[in-house]
Amino acid sequence: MSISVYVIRDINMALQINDGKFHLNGIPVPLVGGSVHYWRLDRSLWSQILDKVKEMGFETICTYVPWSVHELARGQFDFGENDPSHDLEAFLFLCEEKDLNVLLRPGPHVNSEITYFGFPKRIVLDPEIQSVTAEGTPVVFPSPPRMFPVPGYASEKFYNEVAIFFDRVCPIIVRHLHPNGCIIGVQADNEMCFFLRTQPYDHDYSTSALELYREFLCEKYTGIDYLNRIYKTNYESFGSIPPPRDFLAKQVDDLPYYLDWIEYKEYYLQYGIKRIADMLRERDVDTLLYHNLPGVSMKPPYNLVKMEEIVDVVGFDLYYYKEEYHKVKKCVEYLSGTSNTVFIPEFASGFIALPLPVKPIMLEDAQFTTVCALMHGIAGINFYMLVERERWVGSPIDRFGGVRKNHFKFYTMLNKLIKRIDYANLTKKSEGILLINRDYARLELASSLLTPIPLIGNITPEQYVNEQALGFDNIIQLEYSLQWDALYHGFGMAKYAVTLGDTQMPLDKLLSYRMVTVPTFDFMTRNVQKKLLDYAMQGGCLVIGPSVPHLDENMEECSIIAKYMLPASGKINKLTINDMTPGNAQFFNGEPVLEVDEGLIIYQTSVGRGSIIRIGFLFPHISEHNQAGLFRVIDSIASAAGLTRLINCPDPQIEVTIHTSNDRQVMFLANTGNSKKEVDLGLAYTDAVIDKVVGPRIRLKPYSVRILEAV
Amino acid sequence: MISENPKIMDWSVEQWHNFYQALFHRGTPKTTIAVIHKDNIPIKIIDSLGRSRPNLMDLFTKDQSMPDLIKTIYHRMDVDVVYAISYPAIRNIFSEFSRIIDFDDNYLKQLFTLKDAIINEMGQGILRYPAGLHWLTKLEYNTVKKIFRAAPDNTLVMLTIFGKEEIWTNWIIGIEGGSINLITTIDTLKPGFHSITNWKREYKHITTAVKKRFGKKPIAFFMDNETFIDLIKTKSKFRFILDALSTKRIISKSLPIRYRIMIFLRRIFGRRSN
Repeated sequence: MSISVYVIRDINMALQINDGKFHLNGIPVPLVGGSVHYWRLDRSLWSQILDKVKEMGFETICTYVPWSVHELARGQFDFGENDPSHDLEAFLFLCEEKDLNVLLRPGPHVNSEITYFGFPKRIVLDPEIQSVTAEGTPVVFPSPPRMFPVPGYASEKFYNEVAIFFDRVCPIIVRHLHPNGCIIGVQADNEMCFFLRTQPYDHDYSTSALELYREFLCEKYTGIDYLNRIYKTNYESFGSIPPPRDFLAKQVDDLPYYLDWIEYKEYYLQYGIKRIADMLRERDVDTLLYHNLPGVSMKPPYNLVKMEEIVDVVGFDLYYYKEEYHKVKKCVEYLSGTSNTVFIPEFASGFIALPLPVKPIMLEDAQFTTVCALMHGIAGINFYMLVERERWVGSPIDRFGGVRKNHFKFYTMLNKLIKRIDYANLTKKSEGILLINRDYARLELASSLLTPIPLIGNITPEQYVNEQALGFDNIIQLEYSLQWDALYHGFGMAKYAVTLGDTQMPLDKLLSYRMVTVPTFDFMTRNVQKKLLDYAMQGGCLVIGPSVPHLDENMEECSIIAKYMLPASGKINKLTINDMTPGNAQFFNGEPVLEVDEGLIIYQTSVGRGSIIRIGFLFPHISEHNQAGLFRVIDSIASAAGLTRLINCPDPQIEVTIHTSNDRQVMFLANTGNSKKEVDLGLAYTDAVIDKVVGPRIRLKPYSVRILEAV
Repeated sequence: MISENPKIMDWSVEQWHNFYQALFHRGTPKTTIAVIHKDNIPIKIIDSLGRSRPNLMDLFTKDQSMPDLIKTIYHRMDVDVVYAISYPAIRNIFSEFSRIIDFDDNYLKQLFTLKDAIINEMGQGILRYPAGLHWLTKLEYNTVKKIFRAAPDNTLVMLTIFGKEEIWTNWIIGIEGGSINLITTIDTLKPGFHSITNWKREYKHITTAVKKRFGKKPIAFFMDNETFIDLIKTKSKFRFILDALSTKRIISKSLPIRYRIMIFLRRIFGRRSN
């Protein structure tokens, strides 16, 4: 089954996305809601609890509809017939009575901290449904109170079973779709992520998954001869191609086989979302469909651009501590650059209550990270959870309908603030965009030495990638993320409005930025090379380096960009830029962007109506000891690209964004560090929270954000 | 030991935070270096800061064994621990675990199955210098099972730790049929109720309130957070508990009779009763 592009239907959807914003009944709105799990609350308290939700200023709530909770036996369900708290329809009627919008999440995967993640036990224990590891074993998910084998999303039997549940639940959903009812959006499945076991050679190696792999190859190459030419093999048919179970590449020519496997893993997730989304649509669930990915899901096996060809919007779920500002920033900025709109389907409000050695997320974490999410430009956010329940604590409302005062006060203030600053009509300023280069991100994952350890927490590619050069000038899979990180931190530290994106983005989106920057090495997908050149030709400023690609994704000659670039004049043995010591430096003769004693190390060349800037060296690890050098490099590039600095403040712990709307300008100024800071803005501003004129010197407490409106 | 669907509710997130900090955030994290090798040839070396350390490859010579290499790195690099992990070792652990796990087992048994899969690789695919295993590795599932079986059926066990004027952390565990079926805190009695003035006088009120809520008295342990932190730090935990019970640094309520006799004897005869 191929994954065809989903075409947005001409239906009367309540919730729509226009120009990157949510519109409800045609009016732009910040979609701000929170989760309330009806089945976990005493039905007699539903009304009182929903009133408290409204009292905080929320107009939207969200709930899962867990399969395992409603299924009594195969084909037999309880939607309130046995347990009154399972009466989904009564809950939806009550939401309608209270004029609350609902985002509904019928799974089939719901996690929701339920044993077996909302799948009936009979489903997870069925060998025909289970995902399979490279060693032929089931895939164990180690969550308390029971570890369980995870289902495979290539299993046809799995979808047949889901259909039985959907046949029962979808008619209820359809009866309550806007404009007749309260449901304004439906989530197709939940956190499609190989159950966080995203290592390349872990799973799924079930028979059905391998059939899907071969279908993917057949779609991509159309004929076996073409594949054999690229793989340098002699397979008789697609069916005879064995899946990789380990990274055994030694040279450049070996790579397409492994890179295809990673692309297939992206395809597998898209396939799963499409099957579930199609099943909902086939049952007349004609509303905005969305999906959520876990945390920072910018790299393979996630492919947000492709997933948004299947559902209307894909967001990230964010559960971060106040010390993890950059994770929040990366997630929101990446969505900002890449997605149809910036939606956070789950944002921490409270924390999971299971016997796990994980530090709880406290109110002070949520207060800081929530405003940071606003700072980087969200269009919608759903707080998980607004109401405590079994296995969840630290929300503003407890399960008896009482309030946790400080939490309640914060969310009430937040809703008022969003209205007061007319957040829905603000647009974040972004002059440049830093792209995830999917080619190298795939190589990073393909070369992992740590299969099957889940890539969660703070594991970086540096910790798991194979360190063979594979015939390239640099160890691309090791160096790529270091180059990307240097650019990310550099533009942030120097206070340029640079957002994040992906080489999968279409040209028209790239053209809305004055500058596009992306680390480049020896190879890059042909279409991406062409797209980036077109971007420059049509007036953009493309920033690349340390190498210029001369091969395509099949490792065949492809110098679409290279033919416009200057050859290096020579190598520099030891390059020093202030306190920074870059590696593998070359010097050039061209239009200077940055020249040091050793020579011209960054140059700019005109192409069409735009230009290309070439960085001719490898950034080292960026730390507090080499920031002056990084600042100088970034400032030179930004100046050549025509970017303007938002404020003059080199402190890397101070972050800033500017949002505008007609004649208004709102600045978000954040202190992301653990000590007090003071920033001189040179002008007075009105503080939107305390509604007083402040400045020009602005004091910032540790982990705090000031929202300042130009006077 | 943990039932399939235990009720886990009404935790005070602040109390949980306190408990987490005391258990898992003590001291400076250990510095480590890990050598990933294939057929005894290092293919990657990383440190606990997440950095690749290719320069350490130079310490390897062809005739050198892995134990010698990690010993050399340990002495040269001034780190707490050095590991050598053979390339298939991690996959072996996952595969072995996936093969032997019983999905009908309780969670603790499943964890012990995982522990056994890891231990099988220790000394084989995973080497450590200096040698030494965490005390948990020596703990057997049957020992834990015996402890749970020792609790009378349909029992509540409560641990309350006091700060100066507050309940620092409180946990109420329900055990039925040898399995935990409830994990809750004092928030289940009265959300947000944490203040207290003199715990040695007021602790009885907590026991009474728990009895009123659940219909039975819990086997309860009360102490201040300094005692709790000392307990966490000490290596001989059982002896510490007995000493603290006999000197009333820890106060217990509703202990089964055999434990009460043991504590009484200890109070009379001191350590000689061991």
